[in-house]
Amino acid sequence: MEWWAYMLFFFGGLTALLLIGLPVAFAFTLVNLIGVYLFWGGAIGLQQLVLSIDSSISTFVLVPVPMFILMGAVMFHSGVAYRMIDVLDEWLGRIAGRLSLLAVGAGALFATLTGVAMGSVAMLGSTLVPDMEKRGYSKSMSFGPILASGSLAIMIPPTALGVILASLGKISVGKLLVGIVVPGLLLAGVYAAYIVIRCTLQPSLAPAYDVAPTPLGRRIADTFRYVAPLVAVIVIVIGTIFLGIATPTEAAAVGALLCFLLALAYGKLTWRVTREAVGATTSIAVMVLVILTGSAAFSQVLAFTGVTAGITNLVVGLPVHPMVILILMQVVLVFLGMFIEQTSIVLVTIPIYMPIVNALGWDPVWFGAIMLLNLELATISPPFGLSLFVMKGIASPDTTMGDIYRAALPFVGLNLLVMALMIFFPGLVLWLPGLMD
Amino acid sequence: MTAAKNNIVRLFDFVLDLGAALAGALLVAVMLLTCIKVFFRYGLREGLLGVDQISGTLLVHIAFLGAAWVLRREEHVTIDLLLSQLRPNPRRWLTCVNSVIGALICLVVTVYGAMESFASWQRGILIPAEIEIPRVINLGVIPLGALLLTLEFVRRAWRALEATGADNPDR
Repeated sequence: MEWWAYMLFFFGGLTALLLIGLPVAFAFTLVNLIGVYLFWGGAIGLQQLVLSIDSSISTFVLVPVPMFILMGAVMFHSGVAYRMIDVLDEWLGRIAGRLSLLAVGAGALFATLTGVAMGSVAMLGSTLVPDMEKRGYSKSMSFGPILASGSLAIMIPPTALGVILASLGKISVGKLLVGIVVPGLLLAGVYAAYIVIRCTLQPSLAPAYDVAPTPLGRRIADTFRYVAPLVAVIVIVIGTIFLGIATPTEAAAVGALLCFLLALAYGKLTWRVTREAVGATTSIAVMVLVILTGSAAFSQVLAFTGVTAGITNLVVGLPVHPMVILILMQVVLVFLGMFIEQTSIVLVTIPIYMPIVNALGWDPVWFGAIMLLNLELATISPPFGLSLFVMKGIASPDTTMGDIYRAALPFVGLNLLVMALMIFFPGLVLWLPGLMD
Repeated sequence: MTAAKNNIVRLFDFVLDLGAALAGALLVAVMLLTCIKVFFRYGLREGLLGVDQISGTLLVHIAFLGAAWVLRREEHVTIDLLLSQLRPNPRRWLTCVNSVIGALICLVVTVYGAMESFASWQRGILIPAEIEIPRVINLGVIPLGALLLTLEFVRRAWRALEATGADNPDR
């Protein structure tokens, strides 16, 4: 059988299993079971698969995934994160598009703490959109920033998806986390600039309204009390990785412990909060880890059947500029991202993409950062981006999908702009990781 | 008969909850172990061997102790593109079918996981790493978790099948 026939068999089978509603993790396991049974010597192969399941996740490199999730869970379940958003609100005053900016700022915070875009969209959408509608905000200025804020989820570290991508792609976790700092901040800045400029030029999009002023002294005190400590935790996590003081695993574990200590210092760490935070983290961590149990076998089966080599040779041999290949690879990601959850996309594409990246001599950290941004972009890309449907579910009944598409499009454009900058100015991604050497 | 069935269901739910509680406790243990390692290195100027290796092993335990509990809560990622378009009864039938497939997959992993674990234990295979722990400690939890998943998938299929009954008004 030719490699492309195997490829059709594996990916076609996977698609069929996913479509009938089999959970992603088990769809991968079935494809692996069939693959190893056929190509690894029948029953012996099935026993090997058990070893492969173990080797896929019994690695400390994946420890930051649950730790980063735990950090966010502790901050949310203790209510500390919500207090931070209130402080952010105090600072915005009467600036044009303040609720839209708050959405981006709060989204960045949620995202930083949780690394999950759709959760951020659902939460902010249900809390901020009613207020925005009451204040006469246009649909584009209420839905758009909330959808866009999800993009910051995986572009501002700590990010669990970044760890998964780096781990599966054999990229330095620390370098990838540090590498997305500049693009992530750039993205947040571009969003903020767009909102302020657009709302200044077209005030009707986000009418100004009176806000009860908070005294400067109180604002500063609240910032030191509620914002600075959490920012310090994030700086410690990223800073220790950057300076080589701690591995990503160690930094993430210390960060999680510090979040517990912070909640304790605020008097919010009760048994209920601990149980809920650990429970929520366990649920997400188990879900991600079970998906990842199929990673080693899936990439080995693809390599063994010649699919990986076949695709790599085909792509590398294309008579086009490598940039075209890069763009095509990103288009595939956006397409997949409209239907499939991000961890699964990473699992499907990394075994194919990384050999191409290596063959073309691209920097894996640079490629990983672009891929991360794209994975998030996919969730807000019309017509099928998953976050768009989350937003439709929580928007007022008179909202059409067209309204949501129109709101998302400018931010899709801004994401593409930042992506283009990352592609044509690799230094944006590689500068900070380069200093780690 | 119904009382016995209810007791079995309650016992099974208790086992799933216990597995999840253990997984959560192990998660906290990973955090604390890693922090202790950092404290040893910077506070006591001493290295602590094996923490990363144990953390990796604990990740396997976390995944398989909690997997069936997550399935019971329907929190494993699923693509509902087709399912969400179907009327309730066909959707239940498809859920029944995918649950049976899930149960069979997990049954195979249970059987071969148990065989591999037993073989590892019998041969006394050790993991060649910082600390040499028996490989069966890593592997043993895989058939256990897969068995719980098999049973949960069977329950899921059964529930979906029951809901497809002719007297169901949502058909």
